[in-house]
Amino acid sequence: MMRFTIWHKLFVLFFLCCFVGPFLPLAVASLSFRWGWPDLLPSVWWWERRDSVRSPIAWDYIIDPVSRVMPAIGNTVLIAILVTVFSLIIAVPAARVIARQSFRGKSFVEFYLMMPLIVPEIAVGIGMLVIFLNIGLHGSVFAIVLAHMVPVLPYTVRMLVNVYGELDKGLLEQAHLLGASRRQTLLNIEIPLILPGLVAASLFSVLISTNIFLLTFYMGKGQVDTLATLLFAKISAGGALDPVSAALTLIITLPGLLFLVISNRVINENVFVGGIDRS
Amino acid sequence: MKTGRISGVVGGICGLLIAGSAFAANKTAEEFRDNFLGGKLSWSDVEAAARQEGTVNWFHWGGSEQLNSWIENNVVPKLKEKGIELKTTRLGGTREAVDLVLTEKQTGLGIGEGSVDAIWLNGDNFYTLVQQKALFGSFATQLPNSVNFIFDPAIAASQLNLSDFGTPTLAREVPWSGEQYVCYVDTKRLSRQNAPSNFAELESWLQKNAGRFTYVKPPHYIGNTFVQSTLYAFNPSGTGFADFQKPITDFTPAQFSALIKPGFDYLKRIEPFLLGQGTPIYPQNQAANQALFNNGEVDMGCEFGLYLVANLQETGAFSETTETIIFPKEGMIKNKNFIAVPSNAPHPAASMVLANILSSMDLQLSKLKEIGYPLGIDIGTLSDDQKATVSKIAPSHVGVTADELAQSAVPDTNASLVKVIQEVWIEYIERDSKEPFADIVKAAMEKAS
Amino acid sequence: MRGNAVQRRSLFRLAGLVPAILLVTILFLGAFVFAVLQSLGYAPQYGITSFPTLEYYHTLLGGSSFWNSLRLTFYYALVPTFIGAVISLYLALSLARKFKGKRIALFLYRIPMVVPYLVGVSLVILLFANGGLLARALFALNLIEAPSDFTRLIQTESGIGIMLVYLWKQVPFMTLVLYANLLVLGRQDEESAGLLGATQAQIFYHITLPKMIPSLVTATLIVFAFNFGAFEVPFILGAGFPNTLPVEAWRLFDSPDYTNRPQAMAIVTLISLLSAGCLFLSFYMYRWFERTRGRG
Repeated sequence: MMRFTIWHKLFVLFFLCCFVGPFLPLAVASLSFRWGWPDLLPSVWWWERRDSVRSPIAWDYIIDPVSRVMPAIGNTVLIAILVTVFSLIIAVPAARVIARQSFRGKSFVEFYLMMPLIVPEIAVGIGMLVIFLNIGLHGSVFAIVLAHMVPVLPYTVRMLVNVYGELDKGLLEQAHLLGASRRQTLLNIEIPLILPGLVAASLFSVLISTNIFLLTFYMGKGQVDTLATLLFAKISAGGALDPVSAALTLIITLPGLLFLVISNRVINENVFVGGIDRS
Repeated sequence: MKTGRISGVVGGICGLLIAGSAFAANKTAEEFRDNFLGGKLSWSDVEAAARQEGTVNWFHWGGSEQLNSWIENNVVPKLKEKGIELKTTRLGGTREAVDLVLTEKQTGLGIGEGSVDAIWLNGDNFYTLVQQKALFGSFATQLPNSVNFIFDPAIAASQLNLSDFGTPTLAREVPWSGEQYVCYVDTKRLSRQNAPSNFAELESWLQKNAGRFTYVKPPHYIGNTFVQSTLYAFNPSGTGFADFQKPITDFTPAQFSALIKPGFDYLKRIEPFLLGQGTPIYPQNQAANQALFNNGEVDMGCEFGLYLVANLQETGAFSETTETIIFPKEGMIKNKNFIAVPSNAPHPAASMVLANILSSMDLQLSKLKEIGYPLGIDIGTLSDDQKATVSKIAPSHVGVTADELAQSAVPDTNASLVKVIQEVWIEYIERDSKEPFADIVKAAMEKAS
Repeated sequence: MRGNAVQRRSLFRLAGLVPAILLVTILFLGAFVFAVLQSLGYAPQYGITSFPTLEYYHTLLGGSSFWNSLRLTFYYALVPTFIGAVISLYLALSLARKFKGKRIALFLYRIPMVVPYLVGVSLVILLFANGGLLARALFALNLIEAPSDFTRLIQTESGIGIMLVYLWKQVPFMTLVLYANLLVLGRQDEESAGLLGATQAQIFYHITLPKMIPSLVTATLIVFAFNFGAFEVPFILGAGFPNTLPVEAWRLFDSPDYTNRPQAMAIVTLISLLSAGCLFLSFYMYRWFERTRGRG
């Protein structure tokens, strides 16, 4: 009786088209040279003009070193990796304590660590920028990494608390009874057990970091380009979407797509729900 | 272990937070500045010092792919020959660089210690740096390539080099390019004969073709400039731009209000006929305005760009039937833009070499030819041969001649007035304030002082 | 002695929390306290030393533009949240059924969720600008004669473009939360109700919807909180004036006049309080609602 009726089918199809359909004209726009009103397809394509104009256009500009897209990709990846590593280093011990120990004020600590999610990014961003400006830390990759950790950490902690919560404590105790040292228990039992959780948390952290625009924009102060700041610089000027902007938009979707493909294999639906709102 | 290391990092940050601004200016850079500005160094000394520094950080507006490519392919190799690596930062707005300089200055970073060596700027950004005493000094006349500029006040052409939006440059910046405010139409939609050529014609044309025009919104400089040319045209004293060369301190609020009231009344009058018809739409910047034009939503657009039409036809953004027109005949604002060096430049010698190279005949001609950026150097200093080369390589103005453009050229408005004018526009036009006009002007003048 | 040792040991047990707490305290709380201090007039670096003063709040709340911005901020945040919740509910219920191509559908619908908001902005410009593809399609069908006949959707106060980006990004997110919830809950209750002769509508209103309420509330709260503080979408797709509070805050902060900065800080302080206030209020209302229903 829970049949998938024609209405369901139309409904799902309609929304799938809304979600994914616009990428098709986006790809067309990235290949155009002139696509003016009222043409439904470009009147002049990129490849028809690429030899006759003096500066590189569309995809030629993207792959030309002058566009700095490659360093921006490098920065984006580097920032994501550093954010992930630092966040895990900080989140693992914290999650371990929260999941295993009971102490006074525990629920307050849990709430305190979640607080960055309640306050809008812009409020944190502007205040943090003033602090960084005062100590001369703005405009560096390190500043961006620190800033990204603020929204990332709450998610990683929450996900890891769940992981530790489900961890079979008995196994660790048995190892201890059998005479394993703390170090051995940690390396041989605990880490392998939480590894899937670590992978899931890392994937999330990478996703959130690559998608944060505001904090990157503030802390980078125009001196550190990432994919997000490059795209913002192009489209915030207003006006029509030019081929370079369209191409950049396509490139910036890649980390997310990669995330979906990987997570489809390693993460189940429930872990997923953990913290996507920031992405 | 791990925790310890991280606490170390965090502790370090705390330390940084506490540490004050106990920096002293960099000795070598300080010496260089004093000797250079004192005229004690030969140019080869400067180049040697620059090679020692090895790097130069140039901050420029990075919104043009053509310009970015040109810099990478032309300026970078030229500096490399001098043993200097050019690092450019592409800005969304020049203010970002000015901000950075001022912030670093506030933290106590002096010469040799900041992060900005040179900025491409003009107008209120220069004015801000002057006000904050954040400029390196009078270097422009000391550059070997200063021969390409006319600095003699007796010659009229020097005016654009000596004054930047009414602020005396005092050689604290060197001209790099020149621009003039122009308008463009697509002759397929609006023929040259039917296009308005002054503000009165614009009004009657708009009444017949409601919604077919708009201008960029102040405080964007493109919008400010449109408003300024309106104010020139409606100057009640009939002297056009002349009254607008004086600083704001020369006016009482009542005088200034009387001076700009007719122009603002005109802007208010045409508002119902602008794009949006009733709820006027002012694009945020020139790119948005071009998009409106390309979509056929408006028939005419205005912005700085002597070679704009040719350049945009080259990239495919403008149709082949787009042409430049002379509007407004009463006066099309012309100015130059400059390379300024801040007082806390980390590589002062290298920044001198950069400024000199950018003023060279080679690069100026190449910039004109390759990407259609007008000359910053003065035609008057060129030999006949060079003049012939310039007229041969310059892109077309498409539809108008250089003479026609030169005839309508008028200078820009004093930077201290621009701040007040943009504030008045925001209150009176955009926010549609019901306060008496004189009060709005008075409040804006108080806010700006 | 012994008690002391135990205490020390128990403190040591908690050492793992220290880095996380330090990070949040310095970067997050520090930044926030800094913003609050500046909004109260503590900004010696800009020559402002009137601390403590409520002057900046007075100016802010006294002007009409603040209230206008506040109204827009709520409007742009609430409308897509509610519309999105309704769509997501139906979409999740549809996706939970068996159908051909389900695997691929489950992959595709998540794409907007994992890309930056800026991608949505690009797409809206491409499709919904006055000269965009939708307007061109209407022109090709002879429904409009010029781009200006097309209703303005972006860079205007109506904020349709902004809300479209939010919907595009957030319907998948809400759907995912609801869908995951449906998987956990199972469909047994519905099936038995169906066997007992309940209609589809009865099943939905009496069984499915109440079950979904908790996750629906979570999802909408998250989405609302995000929309309320969002910057880049209204910055690019909003009207030049008036615009949302985060955009106004950035404008003031970014203005060449540094003396505007405390005013910007006053706005961000208010945004934070409002956003947190709304979250707590709805959370407690929801708890109260649950209690009156005899749960919770």
